[in-house]
Amino acid sequence: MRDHASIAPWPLPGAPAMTAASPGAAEADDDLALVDAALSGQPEAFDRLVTRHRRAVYHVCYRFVRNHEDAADLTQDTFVRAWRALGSFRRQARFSTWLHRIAVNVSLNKVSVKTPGTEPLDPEALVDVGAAAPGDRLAADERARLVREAIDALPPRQRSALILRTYHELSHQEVARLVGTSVGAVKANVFHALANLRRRLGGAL
Amino acid sequence: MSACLRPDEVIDALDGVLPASRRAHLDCCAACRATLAAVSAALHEARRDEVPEPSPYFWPSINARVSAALAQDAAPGGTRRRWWPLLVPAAALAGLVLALSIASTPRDARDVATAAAIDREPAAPVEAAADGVDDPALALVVDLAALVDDAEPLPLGPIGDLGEMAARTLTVDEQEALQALLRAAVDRPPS
Repeated sequence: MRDHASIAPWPLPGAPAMTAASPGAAEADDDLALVDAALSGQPEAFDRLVTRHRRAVYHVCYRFVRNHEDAADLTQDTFVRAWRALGSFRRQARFSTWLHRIAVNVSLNKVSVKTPGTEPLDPEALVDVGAAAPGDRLAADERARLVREAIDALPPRQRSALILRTYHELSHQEVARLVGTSVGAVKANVFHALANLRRRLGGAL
Repeated sequence: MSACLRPDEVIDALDGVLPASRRAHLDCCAACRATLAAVSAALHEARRDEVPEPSPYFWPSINARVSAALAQDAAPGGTRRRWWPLLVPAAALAGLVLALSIASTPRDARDVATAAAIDREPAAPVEAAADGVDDPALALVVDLAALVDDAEPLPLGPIGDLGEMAARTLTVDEQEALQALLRAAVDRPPS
């Protein structure tokens, strides 16, 4: 009998950190102090918030638009919107979560007006039986490209849930609050995202 | 056997937080174990997706770009922005009303005659007369008179020459006063 407990919990142990990890409690409190300072008229406080969260915001945006220029524009747009809405930040979630929400929204708005992407992937076409050995860098790059295309082809809710959960290590509760749905729906979206990913990359659940 | 795992329960199993009662089902259900294994493999695939690291100069530039974009905003929360959208059109409307009130000064016969009279006056150079002028208003008029020296035409563009501008913007009384001052400055004997 297979030991299902041996399947690695989320996130995978030893997996490289894809982006800035979610801030701890101390940093979250510091975020609130900086928010207060910014609201009291100290722009340098907001600049510190930008410095602290710019990488994570950029990574969120990049995963939706897949190019540096658009990701940079969306990152700027995210912080500008955050500044303008800072007075309405109700602190029911962490500042980083609130910021992620803005980043996801601006990114989804951006991709919704872009032209349709490539044709749906044919799972059989993805498996290149003539590929070099698994350790070959070229094959790895090709596989990574296929993964990117498969993620990009996901429906918006599944894509958002997968990105936020997988790469930004937000809890299901945070993701639910961020996208405005329930925890159960977030988990279901993540499940279906992974199922679709598996299907597109040549396997089936 | 109990019902197979729901999608959210599969994710709980992936997270290692599936309740004991449902873990028991997993032990007995090959299909659910296969599903969990497939989801785990897909997650491992997803981890291949990396964000290319931009230039190290990019990160400070984000701060600069944000600061530049925020330079137009006065304060967070947009308290000043609430009335800014009203201020700009209001100021523009006020300026337009002022411009129209000036430009709409009727050019009756007296205005036409006065403008013609100004045009006929010889544009004598009056630069020397500006020396030692104590009255700022007169000094301004003298300076304006110096501008109509034919020897130094000014590119006044669509408005035309100073006389035409005076006829357009000054009242009749103002035009007569200006004319008198100019005549007095021209007629003043050199010191």
